Amino acid sequence: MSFQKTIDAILDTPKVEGLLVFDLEGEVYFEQMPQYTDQAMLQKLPQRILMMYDVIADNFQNCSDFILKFDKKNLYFRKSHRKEDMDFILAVLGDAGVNFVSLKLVTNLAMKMLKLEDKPTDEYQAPASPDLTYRGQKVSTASTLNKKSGRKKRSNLIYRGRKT
Amino acid sequence: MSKVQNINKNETKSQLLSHPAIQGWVAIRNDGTQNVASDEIAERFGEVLIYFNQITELIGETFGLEKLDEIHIVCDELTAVCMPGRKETVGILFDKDTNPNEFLAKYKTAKS
Repeated sequence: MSFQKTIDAILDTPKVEGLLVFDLEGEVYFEQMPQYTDQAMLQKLPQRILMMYDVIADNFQNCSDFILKFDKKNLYFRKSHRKEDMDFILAVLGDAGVNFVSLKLVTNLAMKMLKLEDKPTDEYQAPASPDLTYRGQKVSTASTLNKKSGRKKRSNLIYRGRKT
Repeated sequence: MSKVQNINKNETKSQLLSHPAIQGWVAIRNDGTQNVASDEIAERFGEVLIYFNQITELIGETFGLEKLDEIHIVCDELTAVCMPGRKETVGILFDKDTNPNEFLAKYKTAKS
């Protein structure tokens, strides 16, 4: 199963509407959120989620998963536990009726398979990526999101040792 | 068998909070005052609740979401659930073996 298939498996889970993958510095590796998402706030989202992890770890206990249950939607955050510079967080947006057991199973796969490696230097420039659509909606990609937020470097996604 | 299956449906909220599956609880007013906690661990959890209310509000706004019902936090040694209310936020700490959803369904319909 390729990286893209792992990501697709999460996005294809019934009632899942979006996915964000970022590292512990807030650098976005993958982003596919619905069109109604506030793009300015989306850029701040990784740092806000990271702050939640930091605050709970500093004042209470380390934690791996957060579920935010809103009246209409749910947000599910999962943090991988590897070497710190290789760790990442998955943020999944789902409808209120999303099945968390299914979502946990499919994200378990991503927790095991996905690796963020070979971080390039600051001189590295990400290639321009074409506009992508998902279920008929235009989506912003990690590279466009990083560009909007002024990030220059972009890491490669690695799946079982292979660049994807 | 689930630890919370044997809960009597006539139990009040305060009786439910003394259930063996509950490791602790905290109630804190949203202005940060009157923190009432079952023990020191729950009190420490209460200190982060108000911050979580504020930051999750901002996170929800990213997707046009307003009403936060619950926050579930899976920690190393327990699972914590935060239930924001209009004036007060309640936090309940569960042991790792307990499914909070089962308990919360009973807690939310229990009498005060």
